[in-house]
Amino acid sequence: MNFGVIIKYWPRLWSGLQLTLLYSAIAIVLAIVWGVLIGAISYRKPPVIGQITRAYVCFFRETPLLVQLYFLFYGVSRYISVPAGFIGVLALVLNDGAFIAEIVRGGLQSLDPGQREAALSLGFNEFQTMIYFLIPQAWKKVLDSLINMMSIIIKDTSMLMWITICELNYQCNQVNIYSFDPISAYMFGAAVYLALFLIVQGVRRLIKVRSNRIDKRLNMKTNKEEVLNV
Amino acid sequence: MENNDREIVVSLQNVVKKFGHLTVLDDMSLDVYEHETVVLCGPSGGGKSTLLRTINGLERINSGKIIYRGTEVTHRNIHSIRKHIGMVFQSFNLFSNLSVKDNLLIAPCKTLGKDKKEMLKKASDYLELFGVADKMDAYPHQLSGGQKQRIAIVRSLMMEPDLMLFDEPTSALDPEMIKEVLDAIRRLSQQGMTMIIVTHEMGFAREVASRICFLESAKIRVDTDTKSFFGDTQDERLQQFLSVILHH
Repeated sequence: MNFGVIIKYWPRLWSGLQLTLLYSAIAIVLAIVWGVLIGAISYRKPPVIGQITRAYVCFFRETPLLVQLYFLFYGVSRYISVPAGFIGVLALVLNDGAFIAEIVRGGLQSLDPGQREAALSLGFNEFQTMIYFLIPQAWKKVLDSLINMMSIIIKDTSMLMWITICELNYQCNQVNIYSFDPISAYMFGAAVYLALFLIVQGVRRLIKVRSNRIDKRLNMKTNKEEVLNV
Repeated sequence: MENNDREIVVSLQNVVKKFGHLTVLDDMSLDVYEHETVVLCGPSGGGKSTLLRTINGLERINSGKIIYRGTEVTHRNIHSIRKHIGMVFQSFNLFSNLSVKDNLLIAPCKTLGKDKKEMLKKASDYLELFGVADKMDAYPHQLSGGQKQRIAIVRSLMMEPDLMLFDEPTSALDPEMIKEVLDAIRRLSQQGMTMIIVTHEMGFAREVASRICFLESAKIRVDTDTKSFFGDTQDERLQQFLSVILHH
């Protein structure tokens, strides 16, 4: 790998990386919000809306992201002019949000149905029951899978180059074209994606350590009480 | 009977409930009066728990009416009616993501808009009364079954219910813990709380119930005051049930 190439084209690569980070961050936040919403709806299965969400999840999970990107980018812009960035985020949110929805639905379904019944019996409505009890409980169960989805979303942003967004993958491609050094150009790209993955894993570990520490503190407290009682 | 001059709290009129082809409640009618403690007993699959769950709308009925204090219960008003009806479950169902304190406070503060400080005082009074005063900051997984159930009872009481429903409150407990929970329910009965209890503890039923209903195959076969229930019953099936359950 020739570092000279990387240094020479650094401004280009840096601007690509910035866009990748920007799109990743926006898509991750919105996809999680959207996915939790759709997951909660498909868990409750309301008459008509339930079927619509099922069809949506099926469509966006079972068709390729690139097809969806082209469909939205060329299809929509035939009728109204929308910035490519908007279409890019929309496609990522719709696609990855569908996967997150299935994860969240699974998490909700794994909860004891008695939790929902207890909340309802105390006068909470379905929405409050979701917000106060079911989603917080399911959140803990699905956290690992959600963090996994973050890595996937970051990698999915590399598809955005096909709808004219100059993110990292696009810039690596440009560096190859200018320098005739594909090994260096794409190795750099791969290394950056790998680094982002490692950062996400670091965040995961941080969250885990924190929640373990909280659990341990709670357990220690009860153990102490038991000792005192004896 | 003395019931004539007392107000009816909840009234089931010709209620039918089916699960698919299986009829669980078959044209069932029941009036529960103020300050009554009604025990529902009978063999498994008789519809006891389902009857209880239809009252606060956890099961939707296929036909018939449920009337709470003169208002018909519908899916529109069920959320506000549930605020007046406490329910205690067999498997406790304390909110596992919340501490005991938050389990007790969240419902009155969020659904009734009560003052948090006031509720905290009330919660600690109740916990004291039910012998779990030291568990305010514990989480459900750190409690024994008996403690969980007593806290579940307190959680319902925090809403100042007008009617309490108990769905086999001691069935998931060790024999040693059954007594502490029954003591808690007994206390409520003595205070004149209107209650409907599904239980297999016939000794307890004999002591606290003002009325006992024997349910079998989706029907109320016997509905009588406690004394005659254990005394001179004519119903053959009930005699058989009692002889098994009282002499096991």
